[in-house]
Amino acid sequence: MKINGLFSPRVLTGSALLLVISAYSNTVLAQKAFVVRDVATANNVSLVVRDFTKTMRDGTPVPFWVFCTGCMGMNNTGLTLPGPILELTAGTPGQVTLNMMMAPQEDTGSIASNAYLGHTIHLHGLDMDTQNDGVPESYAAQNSGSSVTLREGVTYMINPPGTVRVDDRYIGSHMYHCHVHTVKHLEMGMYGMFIVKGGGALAGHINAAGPKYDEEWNMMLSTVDPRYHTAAAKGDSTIFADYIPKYFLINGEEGYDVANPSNLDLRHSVTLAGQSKNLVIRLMGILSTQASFEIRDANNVALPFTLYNVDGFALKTPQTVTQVQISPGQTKDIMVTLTTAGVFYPQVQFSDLRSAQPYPNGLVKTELTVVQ
Amino acid sequence: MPVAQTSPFREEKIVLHPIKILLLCVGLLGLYACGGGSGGASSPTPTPMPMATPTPSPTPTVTPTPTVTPVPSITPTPTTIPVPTITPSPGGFSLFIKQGTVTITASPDTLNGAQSLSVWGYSATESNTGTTVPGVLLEAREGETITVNIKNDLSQPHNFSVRNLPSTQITPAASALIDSGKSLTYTLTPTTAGVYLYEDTVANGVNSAVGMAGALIVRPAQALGKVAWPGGPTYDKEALWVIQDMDYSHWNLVALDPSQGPSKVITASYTPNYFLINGMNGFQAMYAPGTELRGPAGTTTYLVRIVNSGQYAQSLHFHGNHFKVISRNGVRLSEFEEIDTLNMPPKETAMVLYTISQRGYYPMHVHSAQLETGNGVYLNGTAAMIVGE
Ligand SMILES: [Cu+2]
Ligand SMILES: [Cu+2]
Repeated sequence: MKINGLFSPRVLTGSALLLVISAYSNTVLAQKAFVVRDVATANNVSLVVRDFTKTMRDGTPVPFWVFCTGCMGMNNTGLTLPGPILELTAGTPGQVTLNMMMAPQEDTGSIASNAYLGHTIHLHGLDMDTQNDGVPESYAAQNSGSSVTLREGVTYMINPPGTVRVDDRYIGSHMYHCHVHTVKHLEMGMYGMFIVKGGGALAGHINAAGPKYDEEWNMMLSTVDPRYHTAAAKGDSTIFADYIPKYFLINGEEGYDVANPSNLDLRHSVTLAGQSKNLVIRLMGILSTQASFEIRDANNVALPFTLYNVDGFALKTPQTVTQVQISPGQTKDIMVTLTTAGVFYPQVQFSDLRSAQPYPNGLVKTELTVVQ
Repeated sequence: MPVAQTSPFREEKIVLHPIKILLLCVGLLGLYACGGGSGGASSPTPTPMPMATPTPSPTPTVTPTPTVTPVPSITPTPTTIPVPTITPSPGGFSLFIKQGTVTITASPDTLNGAQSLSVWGYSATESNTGTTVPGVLLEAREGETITVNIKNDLSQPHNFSVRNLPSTQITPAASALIDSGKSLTYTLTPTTAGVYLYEDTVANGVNSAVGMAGALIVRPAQALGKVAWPGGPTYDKEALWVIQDMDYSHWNLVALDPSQGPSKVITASYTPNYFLINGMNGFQAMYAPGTELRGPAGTTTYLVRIVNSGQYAQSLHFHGNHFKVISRNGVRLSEFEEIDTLNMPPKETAMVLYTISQRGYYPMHVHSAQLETGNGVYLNGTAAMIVGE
């Protein structure tokens, strides 16, 4: 599916690790290949952690730590912020292994930084048991006061043999992220989307009681205070006493920008082919501000859509609205039925925690193209 | 009294830490065999955590065995801790508006962050030995009348306002001022079970922001037992979380300075650096009786009443289980949605039902940057623990 010379980045299935590489056909950028976010099943996946420097639109390089599936050894291609999308079919067992080989982490040298060495994976929203929850402090409470083994590389077991916790109730969007010093490590980019999908008769359904969708689009909302990314910000630091977000991101990007073809995750196209199409948009909030989501049309009118899931659980009664709020740690899954061709702008307004005042540069737009 | 809002013993459960073990020894009055372990109770120096292997690490992955849940090694027994009782002086509550202190304890992991904060608040005693933040817990039953006598021991006028309580259910109105050195007696006849925020609304909210806030719990008639409201959902245990943020340098230090005062606070700017839950920092609050959620897994459902008396929205994320939101700002919801993250905008209240479904230790923590810290010290912000036994 080609729109304006861009390869549509969406990957709808994921029975195996998929690495999608698309070539941009624009002559100016003909030599560049663009790596779109990996989609991996969580049935058995290994994640590593890598340094990743992202140059923001204003030219500022910001260092991140990101999860990656395809970056074993010295292979650092395919690094993305957020990390790969993990998918699991509800009711099936999953294993997510954190491989600490060559992982960047806090400097050693003081008690403060030693307390926050290593990394973990917290499967946010899956209600994991303590041993698999990835939280050093609660792990230590249960395991003789030590969380060292938790930080060295662990396999996190979802629905281990004989148990099914993540069942059809969990069909929807969740997240994964490191839970070591989450103030620092989340800000450093150690997060990704975790999608639980229905299996069997529920394949392709937005939740266990909800309708089928034809297309899906995932959006992870995050914010960046570059001061948190400096060497001075480690362990306990007064830098962490305040948060001054400077960059506002959807899928790691500052917004849809024709001049910047790397933001493929911010453009989506749907071909109707004579039928209406249901598009699910999964919103995952790993931000440290408030945010609201809307879909505007070319006349800047907010269009109605239906909210089906909150925090990966189905609402008892879906709600048709023109705006949803996403607060830190929340996920919301909405569905919009597309019937007419046109260009639409799903967008997020980031706002502050005190009085929900919009940040001046906190409006991040994406582009949805619907063709007949 | 079913809910312990504050306790003289802000007990924490952190193992392998001599200072903590010492506290446990004192707090549990020798019920536990203390002094074992490398540090010993008498050693003043902390035992550093064992070093994690630096990268690159060729260690093969360690797979925890999730089916075997070891029994927690040290289980504090919060029921043995005495809890201050609210003086049920004939006919009602007595509150004293005073300057007080919030003691922020250090992180046991890094030993950083100990700090004493000056606040204004509502004490249960004239002598000012009691806790002032949050204010004295007020409790009533639906339809019953309580009186709240408030004496102003500060030098500015103050008032008393209960958010979302209909004006017909409280006299005098919030417009009445309690002058310095004077007292006023309020009569409350709340008719709707729930949790309410009370606060001082004088001085553009500065007084509330520097500590003058607390909670009013209204329960249904005693005969109805443990129900959130008449005909409402049942529960086994209760907890109350009053969460509050403070911009200590720019608000407290200015408002409490006799040469400046509340009117000198520049209210357009607010950069809070302390985030309290029931007047405690995270490491204090985690295992504090009345703040932690604890009980047998599978058979313990908590009614958690939550009040955000501060100015920042706090997004509270619970591990271990999703939970049901049953009311918002006093509005009883007809459908109890199951979520794992509750956004609490400033000055709002909520009630949730959390069922402890698994054994083990699960945090409840705010999910945004500096709110997880106390002045930049990690985990000293808004946090509590959930313990499934
Ligand atoms: Cu980490
Ligand atoms: Cu999380």
